Amino acid sequence: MSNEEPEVSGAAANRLNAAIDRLLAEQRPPDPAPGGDEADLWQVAALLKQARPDLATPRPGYLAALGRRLRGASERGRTRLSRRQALSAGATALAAGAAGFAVGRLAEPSATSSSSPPARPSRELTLREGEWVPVARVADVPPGAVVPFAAGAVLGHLLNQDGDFVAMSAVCTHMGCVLRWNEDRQLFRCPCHGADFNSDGVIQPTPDYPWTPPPLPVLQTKVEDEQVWVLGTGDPPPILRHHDHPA
Amino acid sequence: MGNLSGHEPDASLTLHAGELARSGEPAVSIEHAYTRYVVPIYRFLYSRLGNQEEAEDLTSEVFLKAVRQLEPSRDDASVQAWLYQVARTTLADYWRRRNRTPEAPLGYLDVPEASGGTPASDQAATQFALWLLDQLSERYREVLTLRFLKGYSIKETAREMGITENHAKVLQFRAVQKAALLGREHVERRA
Repeated sequence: MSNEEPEVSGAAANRLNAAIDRLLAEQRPPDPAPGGDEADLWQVAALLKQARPDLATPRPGYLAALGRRLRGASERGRTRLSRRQALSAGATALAAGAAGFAVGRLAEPSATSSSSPPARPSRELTLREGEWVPVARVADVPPGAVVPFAAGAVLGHLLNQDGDFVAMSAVCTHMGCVLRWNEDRQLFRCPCHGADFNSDGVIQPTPDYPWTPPPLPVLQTKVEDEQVWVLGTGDPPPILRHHDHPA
Repeated sequence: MGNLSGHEPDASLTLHAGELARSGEPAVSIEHAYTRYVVPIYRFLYSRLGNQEEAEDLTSEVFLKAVRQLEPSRDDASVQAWLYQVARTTLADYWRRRNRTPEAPLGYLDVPEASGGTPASDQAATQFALWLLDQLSERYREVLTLRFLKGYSIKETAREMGITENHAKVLQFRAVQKAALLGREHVERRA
């Protein structure tokens, strides 16, 4: 940090922080924007968020709804949008790679229908040619703590459940978005469709989210050298290369 | 909202060959535009806006304009150029309405060349964001990495860095400020 920086007003720092909080929650920033230099900073914050490209994938539900809307509009107008086109745009979005997406799919049992009952979380994900990656110092994950990690390309959360370390995939088993831990509600929340998974990785149906995707896969862990290790992959995803894990 | 979900392609999106055959009128353009460009346009807008809510609203606006205004005679390159141009003006209008600087320091993300192929904007924003992070001092990079890459709250960020929440907010402000400066310099160098 250089000392030539001018004083930062606490109010401005608070405003920017509030705007970033909303960005991270995929919500529009507070209105009205402050204008001027501060508005520039909001734009830069929006840009910095692109460091995680997986976030920039449109929700399939949105694309499907837009496809229907355009079809309706074009039927009233002079052009037509076929159902096939709407479908294939949705498929393109699905194919667009999100970091960790493959893990979520890989772990998904064949029963993906919404009628399958929530299974007990007895599903360990073993990666072929996996690599042990230290993800946290034991001392940094006290009982009850939930800490996000990246074990190479595998994104997850490390939980200390009464002294036992559990590493759970952070990839939603519905459509592959990256889950975020909500400390207040003690739930993993999916930013894409609002799925809530409890700390056992089991879906919690709500009126807004009536489906029951499979439970979150659990990764193998071990404790060695005062560290918690997760069986992940050797190569970090490029998007995380700036962050060094506690090592 | 159940039937708007993306859980699986709903019944209304199944392929109807008959309908396709019937639509042999000037339908090609808008179909093509939507199929090929809805995701790139969404990403282009998202790269400027940084959140799903606004990116969805503006993507819809662009394609509704396309349904009304896009001439069916256009070729692929010109459809692409048209869509990005509309995306830009839609964005500029939107920012003006909301009192947000239209140009900001983000002029670096040029509309991709209208030469067909995959628009470069998908990767460009990510690469630029990573490059900016890379240019920052370690402290600045750390606070922004925790916030933006790991999605930590400011509280968690402060805890991780061993500083107070207020300090983390100030550090975050300065880091973003520095990134803005670097971004602007980079754009000016290229101009």
